[in-house]
Amino acid sequence: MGSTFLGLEIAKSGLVASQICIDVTGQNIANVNTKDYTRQSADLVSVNYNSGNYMISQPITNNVGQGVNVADISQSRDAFLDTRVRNANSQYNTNNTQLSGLSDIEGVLDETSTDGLHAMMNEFYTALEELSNNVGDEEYASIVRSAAEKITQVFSEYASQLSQIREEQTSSLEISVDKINSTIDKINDLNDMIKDQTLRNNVSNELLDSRNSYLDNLSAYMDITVTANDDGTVSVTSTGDIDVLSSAFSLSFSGDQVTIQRTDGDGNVTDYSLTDGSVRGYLDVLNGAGTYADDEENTFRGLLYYERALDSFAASFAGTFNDLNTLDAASPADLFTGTTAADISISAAWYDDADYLVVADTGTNDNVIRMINAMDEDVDDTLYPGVNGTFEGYARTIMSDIAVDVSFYTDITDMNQSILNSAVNQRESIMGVSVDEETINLTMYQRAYQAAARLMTVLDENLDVLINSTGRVGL
Amino acid sequence: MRITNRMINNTYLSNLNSGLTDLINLNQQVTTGRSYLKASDDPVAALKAYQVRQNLSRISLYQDNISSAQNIFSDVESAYAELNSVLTSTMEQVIKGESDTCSANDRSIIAEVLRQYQSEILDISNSKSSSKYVFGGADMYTVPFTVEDDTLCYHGIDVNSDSSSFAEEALYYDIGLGLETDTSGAVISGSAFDIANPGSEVLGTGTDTNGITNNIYNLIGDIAAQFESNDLTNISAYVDKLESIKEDVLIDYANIGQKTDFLDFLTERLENNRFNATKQQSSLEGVDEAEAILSFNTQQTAYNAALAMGSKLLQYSLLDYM
Repeated sequence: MGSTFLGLEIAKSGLVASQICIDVTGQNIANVNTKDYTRQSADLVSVNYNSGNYMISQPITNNVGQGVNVADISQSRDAFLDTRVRNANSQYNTNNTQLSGLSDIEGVLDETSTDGLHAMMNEFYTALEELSNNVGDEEYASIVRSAAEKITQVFSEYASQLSQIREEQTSSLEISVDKINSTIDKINDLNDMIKDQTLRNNVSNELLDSRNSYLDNLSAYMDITVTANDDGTVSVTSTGDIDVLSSAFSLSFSGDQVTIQRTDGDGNVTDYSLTDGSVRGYLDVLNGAGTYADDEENTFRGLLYYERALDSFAASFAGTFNDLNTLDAASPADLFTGTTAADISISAAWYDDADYLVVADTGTNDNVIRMINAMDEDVDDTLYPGVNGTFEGYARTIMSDIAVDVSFYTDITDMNQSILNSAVNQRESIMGVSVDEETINLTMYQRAYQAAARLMTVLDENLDVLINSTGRVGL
Repeated sequence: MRITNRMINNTYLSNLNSGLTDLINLNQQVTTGRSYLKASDDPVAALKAYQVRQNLSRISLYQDNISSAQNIFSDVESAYAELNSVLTSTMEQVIKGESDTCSANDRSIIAEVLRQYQSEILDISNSKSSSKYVFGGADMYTVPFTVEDDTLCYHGIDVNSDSSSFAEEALYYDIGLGLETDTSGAVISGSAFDIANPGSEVLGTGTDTNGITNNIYNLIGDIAAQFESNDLTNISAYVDKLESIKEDVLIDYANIGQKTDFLDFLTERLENNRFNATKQQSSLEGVDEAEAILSFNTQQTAYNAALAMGSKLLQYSLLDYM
């Protein structure tokens, strides 16, 4: 025989459950635009009839359930989609960082709407031709000198702008590494809090959202793999299966190379290389030496490639014309000094006297013609390895290298952006809040609440009959 | 698929953004008149465009070189024309003086006239085209002919000296014939245009087997001297010599004409090349205005439509109908 007031308890559980459901719906609606918020739902379970310690079976009429219970406030989230989003995020940030570095370099080297090295080479050629046609006129010799001076100025301008970009990229990398370290700290803090709550069986969904958000952020800087543990914490690993959460990262500079160093939980410091993420992108841009890379160096066409290419270019240009200006190898008459893009300049002797340029050897203008020819002929790449084609041709090669790379990485970044967007959208589809849906739920829960209240009224009326009217026949 | 509010917002925003990006790109194309602003927008066209730029700059260089060569040669041509007419007059005077009817007095007058012609020839030989001596040979900045102690010198060397004392002279202009040098660094003559007109070759150097000078100036001087002395025993050899030199000058004159014809032909060809290169440049770098404006309008319509859709899409939810 069921208890007299069991029905009231059932009605009460219904009221409470509907109340909680309405609160959860309210929380969802309130957070409809909150970044990284995961939709929550109250998991309702019907309460089983408790058979207690009866040794014999009870009448079937006693087996009525005992109302409803809120078992859990759960999040609708899919770990697989999280992994997809984070991988796509790492990949996208690798390319996007490479692209932004390369675009900066393109800004320096591109001559589409301005004049640069290529135009100056052209001007130098024209000046040499003019001189060869007007041998003996010092005015034309000084035009050649000023054209050559412009070339040296463009070289040093390029060199200084590239070093400016190097500084900017390095400081961005430093910021990224700091961000990684502080994100690791945050995740560790949240891990501790969540572990604590899990022990008390009192998990806060908002803490999980916060940790997921930090994990998403971390995936922008480096490639990570997240594994959930039984105690509610997560473990994070990265390239080479290292434990990210017990590591601290720092930068180390040697020569023109930048490396990431990892200090593990025991304080051991090792060089570390990642495969993806913006940190990887910065390293590629900074260390990438392209075809100028030595054995172990990065072969991405980054800053180092363009720095070395311009240095070789400057050295070959200065060397070729110094050699041509010297009729007798024993007494050099250098037109240029310096061997890198940064330090190439016109020699003091030429600066003092425009006619220092040797115009003729045996004829009238034959040495100038030799110089013109040197502009038209391929650079001797046994003397100056890496420099291909003519001087003007090599200037074009450098510009076209950067243009092709920027164009390629723009496409790749767009592609990865749309992969990331689609992954984020799929995840949003599961974890996002739909106002329409919440509105329907709200209506549903409101009705349930109203019905449970009505149930209570019915029971109350029944009890009223039982208590106030029963056994009062004839009174 | 479940559609959530954040999804709608994100998708709408990113579509709107890409529409706006296209709109701005087209706007830039129209306002700048360029089909690309950075080489990376179209690397292949950019590389070609750089080559075309170099090409164009070379073409205009060759055009400049040809036009200055043409200037020099047209002055050379008129110098030859003058030289020829002076020689014709000289010939007339010489024939007049040579005839038996001529008196000693007349001959000395003719000799005087011949001396005049001599100095005219000297003037013609030292004529300038802008600041250059057209018959200066390889050195066009110093006076080629000077008279020192009554001896005519070409760049300081007596013109009656043996022809081996005069070096081969050449001054090459690069006019787009594929300038090339041999292993010793000397220009291969077919690969460039030689604009040197050495005065030594125009007026002649050395003496022939009879000991008569090959030089026009000196020859006229010698004839004048014979008229002055009224001794005409050897005159006929000199007159024959003058006749043959006059022929040679005419042949040289014709050769110069051929050279200017060649330059005219090249000018025309380069003008053609320039036209093609410019056309190529505009097809590589330039934008088709009509097409760009049309796409701009299409894109603008699409963008406006997206905005209008968004205002409807984002505004309402089920709540508005309950």
